[in-house]
Amino acid sequence: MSDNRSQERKKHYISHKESREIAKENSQKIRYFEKRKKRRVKPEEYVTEMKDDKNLVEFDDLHTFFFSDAGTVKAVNGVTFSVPAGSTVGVVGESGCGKSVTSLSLMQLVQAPSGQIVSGSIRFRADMFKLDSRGRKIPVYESEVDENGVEKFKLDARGRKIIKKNELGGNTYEMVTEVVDIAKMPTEAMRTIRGREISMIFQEPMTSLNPVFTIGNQLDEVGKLHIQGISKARVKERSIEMLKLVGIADPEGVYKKYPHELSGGMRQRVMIAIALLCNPKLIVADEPTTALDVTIQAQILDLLREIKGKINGSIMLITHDLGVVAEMADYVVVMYAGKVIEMGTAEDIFDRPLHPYTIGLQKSKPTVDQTADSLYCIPGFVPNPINMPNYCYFRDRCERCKAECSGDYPEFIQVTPTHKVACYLYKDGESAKEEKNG
Amino acid sequence: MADLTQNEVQTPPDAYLKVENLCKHFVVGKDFFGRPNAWLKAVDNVSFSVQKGKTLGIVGESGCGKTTMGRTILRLYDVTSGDVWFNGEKISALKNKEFDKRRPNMQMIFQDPYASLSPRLTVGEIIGEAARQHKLVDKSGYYDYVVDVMKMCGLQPHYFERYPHEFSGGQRQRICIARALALKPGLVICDEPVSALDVSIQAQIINMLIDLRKTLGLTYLFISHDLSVVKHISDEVGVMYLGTMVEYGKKEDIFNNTLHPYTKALFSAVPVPNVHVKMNRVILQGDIPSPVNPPKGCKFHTRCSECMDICTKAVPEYREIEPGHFCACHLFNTEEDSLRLLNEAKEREEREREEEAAKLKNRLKAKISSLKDKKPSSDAAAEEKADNGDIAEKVNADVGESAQNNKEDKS
Repeated sequence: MSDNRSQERKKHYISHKESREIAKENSQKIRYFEKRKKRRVKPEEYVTEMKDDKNLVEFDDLHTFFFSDAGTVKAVNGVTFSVPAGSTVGVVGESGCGKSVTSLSLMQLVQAPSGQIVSGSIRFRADMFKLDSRGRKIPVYESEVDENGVEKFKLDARGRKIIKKNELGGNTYEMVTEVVDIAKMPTEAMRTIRGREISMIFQEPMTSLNPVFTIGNQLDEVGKLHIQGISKARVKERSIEMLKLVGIADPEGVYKKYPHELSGGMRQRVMIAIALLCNPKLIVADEPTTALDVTIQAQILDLLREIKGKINGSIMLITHDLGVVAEMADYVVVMYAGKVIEMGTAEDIFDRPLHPYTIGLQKSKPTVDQTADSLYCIPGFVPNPINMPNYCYFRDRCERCKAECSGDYPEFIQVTPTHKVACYLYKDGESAKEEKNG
Repeated sequence: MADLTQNEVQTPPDAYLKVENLCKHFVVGKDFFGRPNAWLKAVDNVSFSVQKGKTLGIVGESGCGKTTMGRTILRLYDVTSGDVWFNGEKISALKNKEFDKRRPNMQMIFQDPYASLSPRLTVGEIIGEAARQHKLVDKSGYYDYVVDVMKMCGLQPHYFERYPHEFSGGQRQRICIARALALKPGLVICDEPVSALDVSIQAQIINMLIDLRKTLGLTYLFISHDLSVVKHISDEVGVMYLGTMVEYGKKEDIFNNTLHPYTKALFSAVPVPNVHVKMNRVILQGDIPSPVNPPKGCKFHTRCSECMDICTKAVPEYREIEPGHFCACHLFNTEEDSLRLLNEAKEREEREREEEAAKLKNRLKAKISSLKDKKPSSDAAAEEKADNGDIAEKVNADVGESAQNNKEDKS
């Protein structure tokens, strides 16, 4: 027994000396990445091109690692997928599969310094401010055309030009639509995108609202930060407008309340209101309904769907609940241990799941309409994120693995134009499919 | 109440676990003298019974009293009123010392496997501690006994000396289950055993619970908010809302022939992993009301889509609509029932009003007499004014005015 124990220990524990060596290496790596983020980078360095013009976001071979003292945790290990404009993309997977880290990478909110975007790119089509030669934003002034057909700027009482107000009540600046690579962007530039172009709804409304500020305070803060030149009165107006939009019956009353005075569902509505305040193009919803009851979940999902139509944006929905994804998403991405294993339209994934993991996941969920004697369960556990094997990560839990599975990690196989899967079973295309059906 | 139970003939019911009119009220407010004046009715008049070897699933939103009910049955909370019969004994009336002897026979699996395991005890200690305490096993057989239980729950023997933090959520839940089963219980109350786990691990745990039920002949009280899980594991289902049971019956009845509007809404809110099913949702408006101050009449009427006039006035009766299928809703009333319930509600309201007036009267009397005692001859005029009979008359005439008088007296 003691022999067993020492072996077990060796498998999972590292000595103090080893740990220190790892820490030393890590600090070097981390310093390099941190420096890169703080460097003054000219916009030319991070402006790129989209692969497909219809997409709003493209993740391309993204690697986000956590440099811990026990070793490097490859939380996101080569993730490639895209969010088409105006659609809802659901990212599904068990806890620890890297779905949250993918979304945090998109926001540049990965827990630094240990967590870093190591390589790959996240391309996002953003409305960026046009900058003049000295790096300042160029305002648009109010003007009128006089009798002679000459355009003249309107002047205020003190003879200064008046900056035009936009629909949010802030100053208008000249904008330019660019594709930026968020993975290469410095933090400074990212701040102009975060909240204004992409916003996030976090998992637990209990912990993500500040208990010592009123709801109004927290809503106003977003407006003041991200809408330049907005007046105080207009910010409040906008906040209350947003509370109304998310279906809160008494917006003025809630505006003055503290988070603890609201129920879970109301708090989540407030979170959504905060996310919508600046009319973002993309909403990242990280498990928006996990902490809520089914009846409240139905309300929130209904609201999200309704709002998506209203603001004409896209939603990236991260969840572990297959039911929620089936209901909300147009496209589904299934992740396992830091990699995308299957993706396609919702019909592809739910009607014709290909990867053994996706099939297992769907079979293991009990449903209300069906009865079965015992549930299918995927054997084994998710592998240890430190020291991942070279072969397919699912091999040890897979019931249909072949000799090939012990080779390199499988490449993506395009089964239909919309449906991709990373599994050797489908390498020969149609033959494997028929085999499965038969 | 106590006299009544003594006079009653104590015939044990045929069910393994029978709960009759169980109430658990928490005191949430006290007046100046420390007397409770506000109650939270976490569990209010719940009755059901479970046969041996069967599983009763309890569903409901958070805050509806599911967990409190489970804990009250195990007497982790004191019972406010009502009876719990277990294995032919009325355990709610037993003395604590007596009840402790029955505890091994009824065990609980707690909700959060991360919070319910002591971080300072090894797995072997966690599982075996209670068995040793209850003298189910002696020192020499201790290790073998615990390892047997561990094997039964899918834990490897070399985990014996490990600590809970070394395990994943699914493994921890197995430890929790092993801890409960180490005492060879008959009844296991599972309080959301799978809600903190991932889907694939959920399936493993549910399968294990079902297998154990078969091999050990366990009876489960399965508390969960996940309807699909409850449907999978239960024989009977009870739906709770704000501390009361609104619908109860066989699984097939509840799922195929849903009666109560709340149950309907609850079922339609569950997302189905099928792209082609776009369900006609009955989305409930608003949140669950505060249990400290529940709505009058039917507790559900504030969110009900089929709310009628009577719902706001009278509390619906919990009764058998079909054989074995109970429901508390005015939709299934006959006209006579409705009239009777309305009258009862009216009567009750009047009674309550009278009681309140009487209470106020008593309080005034007490205060006046105390005032008199304090300063017997300081102010003759005030004394005259605060004459007992005088005030009592006024109370009968108008409660509000007398209250004002009282204020004046104080000043």
